[in-house]
Amino acid sequence: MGRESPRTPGLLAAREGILVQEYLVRRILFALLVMWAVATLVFLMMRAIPGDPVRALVGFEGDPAVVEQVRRNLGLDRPLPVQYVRWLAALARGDLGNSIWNRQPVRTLLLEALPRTLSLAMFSFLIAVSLALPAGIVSAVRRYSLADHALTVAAFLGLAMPDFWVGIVLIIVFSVFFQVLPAFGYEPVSRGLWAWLSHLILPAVATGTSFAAILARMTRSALLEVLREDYVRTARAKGLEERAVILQHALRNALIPVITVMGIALALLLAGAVIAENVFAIRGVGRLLIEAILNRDYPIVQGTILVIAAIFVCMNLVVDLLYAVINPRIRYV
Amino acid sequence: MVRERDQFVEDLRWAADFDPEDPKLGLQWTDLSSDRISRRHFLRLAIATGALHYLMPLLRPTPAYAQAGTPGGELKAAWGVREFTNLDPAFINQVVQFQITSNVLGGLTHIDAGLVPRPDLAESWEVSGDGLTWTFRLRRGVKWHNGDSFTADDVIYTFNRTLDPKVGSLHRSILAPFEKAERLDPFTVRFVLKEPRASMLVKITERSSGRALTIVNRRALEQMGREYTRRPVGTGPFRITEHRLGERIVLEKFPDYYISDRPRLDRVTIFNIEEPATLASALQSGQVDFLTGNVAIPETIFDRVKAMRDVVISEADDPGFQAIFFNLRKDKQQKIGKASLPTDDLRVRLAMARGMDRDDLIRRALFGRAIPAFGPIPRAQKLYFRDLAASSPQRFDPDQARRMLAEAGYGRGFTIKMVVAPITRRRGEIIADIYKRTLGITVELEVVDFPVQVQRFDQGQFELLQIGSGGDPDPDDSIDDWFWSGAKFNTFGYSNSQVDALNAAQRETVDQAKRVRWVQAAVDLIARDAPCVFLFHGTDSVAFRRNVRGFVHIPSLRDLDTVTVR
Repeated sequence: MGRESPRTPGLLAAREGILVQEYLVRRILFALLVMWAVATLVFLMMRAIPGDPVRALVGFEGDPAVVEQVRRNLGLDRPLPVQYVRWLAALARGDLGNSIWNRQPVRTLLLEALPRTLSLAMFSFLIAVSLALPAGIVSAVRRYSLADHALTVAAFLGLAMPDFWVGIVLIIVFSVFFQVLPAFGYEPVSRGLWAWLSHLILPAVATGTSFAAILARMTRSALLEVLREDYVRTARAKGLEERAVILQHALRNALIPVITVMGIALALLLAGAVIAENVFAIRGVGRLLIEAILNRDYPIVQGTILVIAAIFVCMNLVVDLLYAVINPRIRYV
Repeated sequence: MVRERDQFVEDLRWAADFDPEDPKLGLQWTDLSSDRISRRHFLRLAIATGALHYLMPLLRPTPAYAQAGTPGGELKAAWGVREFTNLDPAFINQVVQFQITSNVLGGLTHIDAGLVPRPDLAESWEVSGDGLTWTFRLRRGVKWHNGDSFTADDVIYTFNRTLDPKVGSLHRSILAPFEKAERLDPFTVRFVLKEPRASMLVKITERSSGRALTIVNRRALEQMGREYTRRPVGTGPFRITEHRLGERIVLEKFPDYYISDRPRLDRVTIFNIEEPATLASALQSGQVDFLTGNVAIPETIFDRVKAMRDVVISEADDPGFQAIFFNLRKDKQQKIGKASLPTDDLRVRLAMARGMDRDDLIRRALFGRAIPAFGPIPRAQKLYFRDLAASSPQRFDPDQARRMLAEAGYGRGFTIKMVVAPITRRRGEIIADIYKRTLGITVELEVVDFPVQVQRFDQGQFELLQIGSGGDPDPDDSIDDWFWSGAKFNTFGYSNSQVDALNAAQRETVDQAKRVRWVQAAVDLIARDAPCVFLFHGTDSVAFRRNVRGFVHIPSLRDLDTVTVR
């Protein structure tokens, strides 16, 4: 993805802009290809696993004639290639189809779920990063100190405690005992900033802590590695303040692997924090997907995975572009 | 107290065209046990059982929570289900869905807490002597939530819609015995049947579980399209003003509801909370005042909820049954790759029925919240239910079970597979443990997702399969749907011509006493043939804070029109 080249200011800057544009176009075309492959794979896999969506829908109510009628109405009696082509054609028009289970347009369901997932993901991410970076830096700079040991224990606790358990404990402490935060649910920002925030704090902490633990450990080890480098010694030797050495020289380079992990973490969060969504009764993308898989609701599974794939592809792209911002020596070809 | 007495007086007035000076509404116990009972007696019986339900509170002190409070205000409630998938009656396939629509939509009749049909959108009805012609006189002045007036056209439209293949209603087959529906005048509808249906008022015209004839609004359906599945327009006490799928439903008081002092609440907000621990915390923290699970309160939080101060639990018998089904099909070789199973032998099946320690199962799998089952008829179907714990061919008797198993040549047990869904896995493990200990039979669990389980059941691809029935107010739900040769859920290959004959007779009679006898005779035969091991009838439960008053617990329903909060 990246190649290091000697830094040459001036004329090359224009050439640089064109390079980035070309790079972007190529990446986007490639992304579309990836998404088509994912879509096709999901389409086929959903039909390969046992379990009939129409039977699941009709449940214990209808006789075989009704089942066949419902199947016809949904177009699921058609041969697989016909279903596939129809679905792709609709997709090209931006139509994700309708849920088999609740008959709602998949688009509507996703549009309802996405704001919840986005809010929760951003907030969890914020909590994770704001806990992890300071903790990782302190741990690395004051290696083997009391603070480092304490933070290490905290990080392992954060990793070891399952999210659903943390969630349930948070609810019992803050909702049942102190009664300061709601136990469940989601309110959009339009109902007030506090209403929105208060519903997000507990689920975001529950999901954020485990990511914080991972990120803190990553930051610590990356920073430790960088601190051994020659240029850090040089920076110290030329009399820079320790603060400047760490924040301006060491951290910047240490952040490259950390950002990679952050990107993955954020993408995972955006794909839906299923456990927190379940414990806190927030109907986000994760729950939508899991429920659809259990019900064999093909259109929802296909649509949701497509959106998640798009999110992953975008996150990858953003991370790759961020490398250059953090480390200007990285170039795109 | 006063309300109940008023209701009883109203019942008497309603019964007045029968025999007003006759004490006890003209009913004697001999009427119930004799061979001949007239339709008059049948109807009186129906009234009497309904009336008795209202008499009970006069004899017993009314619990505080059942007394009425002041009207107005908002009830916040939590349902332990992931979403109310589809609220268009044509597509409702779960009890929780019609728990909501029972508050929003209307039917010709509606069951009360004793499962007795009462007038809803029909004010009164008549049935011809042969049971083939039903004439319903509709309530006048009823308004739809969208301002339309309710008339016979709405009933006819609903009837035709259910039958229209293009709609794909899941309940089309319920109308199979119907020949036609006619509008006699704007407020009179007549149904002509090809064969009589004893379950007409309890099962077919019922507003909640009926569904085939839960009345829908044509204009709203045409205008709203798919949105109707989220926010159906009805004639009920509440209208849905907001429905965020899988998150919440907001019900608001419908000011033009045909009962002028109902609903008593201004607004109800219902949240979907699937995780039981969160459900309990929502009640405990005061975020909600009313809690129910997927029908009952989840077993895992029952004790926690019960221990909460200021919380009351209301329990009712759940109208349904759970059982382990045997595969009796002739084409087993094709279906499961085995030509025969040990359970093809009646002695083995009866041994498994008698070796099932239901009390142990109920204690361990359901924390005691159920009663043992020895047949499909639940205790909630009061008229038809008998306590068979001591007399049933399936009664618990481990010594005899072991003897029967030895006689059949399986004294040292055998191994067999049982299909369960993730949600019934724990129950399956306990069943396996009981069989291992009492009979030495090894039950291997096959845990599959629910749709797969339904498919396996549907296609007869199982050795044993644990499943059951719910929301069964009428014997047809318990027997006609399951146990005659052509029953829609009889995929397990059970056939007994005597059961078929008894079922056909009970299904079509208008003679209540005969129906009771035939249903009970069929139950005895089914228990003896053991196409399944009957396990238990569940308990339907709801929890609410003491400030929630006036809740009338109709088994498996959550009607909120009488509720108040202080």
